[in-house]
Amino acid sequence: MTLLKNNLVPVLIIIAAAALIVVLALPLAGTEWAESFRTAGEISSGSELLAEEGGSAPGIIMVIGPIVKVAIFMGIGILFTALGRGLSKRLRTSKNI
Amino acid sequence: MTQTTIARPKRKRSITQIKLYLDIFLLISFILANIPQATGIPFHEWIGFFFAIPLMAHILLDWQWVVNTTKRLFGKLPGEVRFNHFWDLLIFAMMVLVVLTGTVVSESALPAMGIHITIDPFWATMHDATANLLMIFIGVHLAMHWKWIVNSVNRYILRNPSKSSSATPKGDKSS
Repeated sequence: MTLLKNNLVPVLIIIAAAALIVVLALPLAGTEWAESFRTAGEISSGSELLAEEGGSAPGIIMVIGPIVKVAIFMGIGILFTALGRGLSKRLRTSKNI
Repeated sequence: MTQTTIARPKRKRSITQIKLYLDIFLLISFILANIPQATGIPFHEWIGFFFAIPLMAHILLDWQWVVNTTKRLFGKLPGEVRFNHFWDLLIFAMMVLVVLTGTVVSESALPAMGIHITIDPFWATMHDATANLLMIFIGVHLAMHWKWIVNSVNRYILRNPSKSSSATPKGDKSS
């Protein structure tokens, strides 16, 4: 009970922030930009998309492939951060010299 | 003969330890949610819905940091802390968008609850795009807290305190 009491305000703030994002995002569906997706693409469902992506790939690739994709995407983020941090460190040290 | 039972002192887990275990769970859930080709659409959708619970706990455990940084956002604040605050907000917004777009293109979880909707190609494309972008954002988030991750893993999982420094890296929210 105390746990809920202590966290009630933060939880409500988080829910309110999420609701605000939803309210701001939903009208996007009515824009011309959204309409261009409807006319250009014939994507009807997630499972159809997955079937397209997977095709007739063997089982092991169906498992490893998506994991590799996640690793690559997350790796891009990690790599760019490492590069940015290294660069800012170098700039700071050169400034101090 | 009297039998004495020695009560074992209850090992209290530190907040950092709890955060570490929660974050590991969150990362595994995130990876599982992002591989629908391997797990299947129903699992992908349900894990997406329930992801909100550990995510909420993740934010709540660092709530004091969020409040303190927000208060000092327009004052004096190290650049790294400011960046982390901005980035965390961006990740939160992106997470909400991924869940929202995933909900409106749901073809398993919502129908199971008796809600049937026509899938809009716009939301389907948005779901794919935001999910991919979120993976990159999470990569940056992990890299920004890399020192804390390495220290905590060394300390609580590998039990190698010599390799973990006690100092909290600058800009890291974890204490």
